[in-house]
Amino acid sequence: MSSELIGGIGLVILVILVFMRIWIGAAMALVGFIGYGLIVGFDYALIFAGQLPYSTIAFYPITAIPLFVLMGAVISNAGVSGDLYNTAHKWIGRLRGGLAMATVGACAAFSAVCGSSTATAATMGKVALPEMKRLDYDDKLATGSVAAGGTMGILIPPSMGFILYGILVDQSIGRLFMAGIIPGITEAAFYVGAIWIVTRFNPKLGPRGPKFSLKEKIFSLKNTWAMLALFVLVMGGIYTGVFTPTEAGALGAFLAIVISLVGRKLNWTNFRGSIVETAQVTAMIVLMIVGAFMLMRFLAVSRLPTLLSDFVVGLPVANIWILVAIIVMYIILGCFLDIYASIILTLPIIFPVILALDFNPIWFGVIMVRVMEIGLITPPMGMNVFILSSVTDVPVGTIFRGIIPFLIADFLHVALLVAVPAVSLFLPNTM
Amino acid sequence: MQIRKALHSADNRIAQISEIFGVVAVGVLVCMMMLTVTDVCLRYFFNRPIMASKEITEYMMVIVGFLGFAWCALKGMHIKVNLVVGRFSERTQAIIDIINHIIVIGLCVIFASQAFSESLIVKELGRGSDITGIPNYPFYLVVFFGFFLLLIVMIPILIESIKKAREK
Repeated sequence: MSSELIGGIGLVILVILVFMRIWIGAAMALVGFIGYGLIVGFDYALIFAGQLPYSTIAFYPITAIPLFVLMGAVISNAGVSGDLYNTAHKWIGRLRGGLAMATVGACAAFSAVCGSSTATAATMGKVALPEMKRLDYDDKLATGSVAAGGTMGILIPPSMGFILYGILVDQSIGRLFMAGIIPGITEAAFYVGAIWIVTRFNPKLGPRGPKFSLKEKIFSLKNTWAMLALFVLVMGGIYTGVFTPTEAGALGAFLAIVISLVGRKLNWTNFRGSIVETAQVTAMIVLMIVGAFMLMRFLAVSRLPTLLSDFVVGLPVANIWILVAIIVMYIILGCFLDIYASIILTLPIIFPVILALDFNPIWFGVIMVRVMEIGLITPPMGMNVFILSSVTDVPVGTIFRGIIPFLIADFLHVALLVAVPAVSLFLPNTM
Repeated sequence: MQIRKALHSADNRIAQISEIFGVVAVGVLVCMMMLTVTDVCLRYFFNRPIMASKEITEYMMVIVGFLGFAWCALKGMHIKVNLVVGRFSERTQAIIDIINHIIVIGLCVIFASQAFSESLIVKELGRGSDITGIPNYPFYLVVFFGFFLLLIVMIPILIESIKKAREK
């Protein structure tokens, strides 16, 4: 049996195992170990199994994972979301659909210091929905804006999606972070545009909020400036080369703790919850990374990715159509798989194809993470929708219907990112 | 009855142990953050970085990453896809889970035993870090221990699945 065939069979078995509900990290490790053993010999596979977990994890860029997770956990447990929402509410709540726009703005700001889409949706849901309900906002628009706004958590840096992508395909995490900033801002603008259009056609969906004086608006910034300063410090440090991403993560986590303590938002229970959550999420990701590297080594010796790349490059279609096919695949995958799992499972196969097609890896990283966000709000998985439904008691069906205008905005935004790579590459190219 | 009691008490003990090591991981995580922050401050303000900060952080990452495996398994946090199996009958689900748990246990045996052997080799070769010379082998033992603890935790989880499959 040829090694390429073993690689192909291995991938089929991997898919079966994943849908058999085995842990994804374990499924990749198992297929990687057996496949590597079949091609190279089980003596070598055993040696590899002894060396790989240590050598993969005792690797400096990986240490950014727990530090950024900690930063996000502290911020989401400290209730900062309420302050961010109040500020956005006071500044743009007066517009038609303004509270939904404020929700999107607050989600973007929260994403800039949190990095988790589900945490953004859950915390913003608790804060923004009661206020929108009070002002008689339509349930669909209200929940749709929170669920869609929450997805920005994984695109606007610090983003766990970019950290995993950077580690797995050996790209600069700092450059990926920078590449996510403008697409994150434009995504928020697209969502605001969707709300504006929807409420223009049907003003009852999002009535105007109360008016606030300029003094009140400026005063509202006193509770949020520290978080925005934290984002500027962390990203500015990476951009200027003062910190590595790991150092930025440590400093970000430390300052998030200090800011939350000074603002009396962090107590022992919150802090304990944050570090426990971080340790558990880290262990979960570490198992997947170990499995992914085992699988990648197997695929490398099978030469399947090379074969696939040669095949795809030889196809009589323009490269852009292949990219579109990959995007469609990721949208479908995002509907069924967790976002981390999608990234880790697919990159060993997809990334060599991207390199063979001569696409910029940073640009592709942004597009991939952006497309995966869509899976968070599409049926049947739509993680953000289910989380929002559980924290607000709004039926899942209502939220899914409310998502439609935001999904249209999503597709248009992805089209923009594909058509104009400079949106993603402008900032990293100036580093 | 007595066997059941003994199993239950063993379950609790295992859960306690995995939680204790989870707490160790949490403590090391906080130290990792403080070490990196101190290093950045010393470098930026006094031009005196902690020379071995990077390699100590890498060692700490091994502790944080692997000691939490078992704890994560107990809390059901390892990512899996429930989309297909979740639609099957409870008995079928339990049977599939038994197979999955056996696979995980098998992997734990392989990774734990190989990490242990590797630690002996690394110790014999005297491999250590470049700057401080801290030996690498204790951290291979951490990897071994992480997988071993996961193995221990998976056994009661497997027994629970078997019980479920027989009851349904």
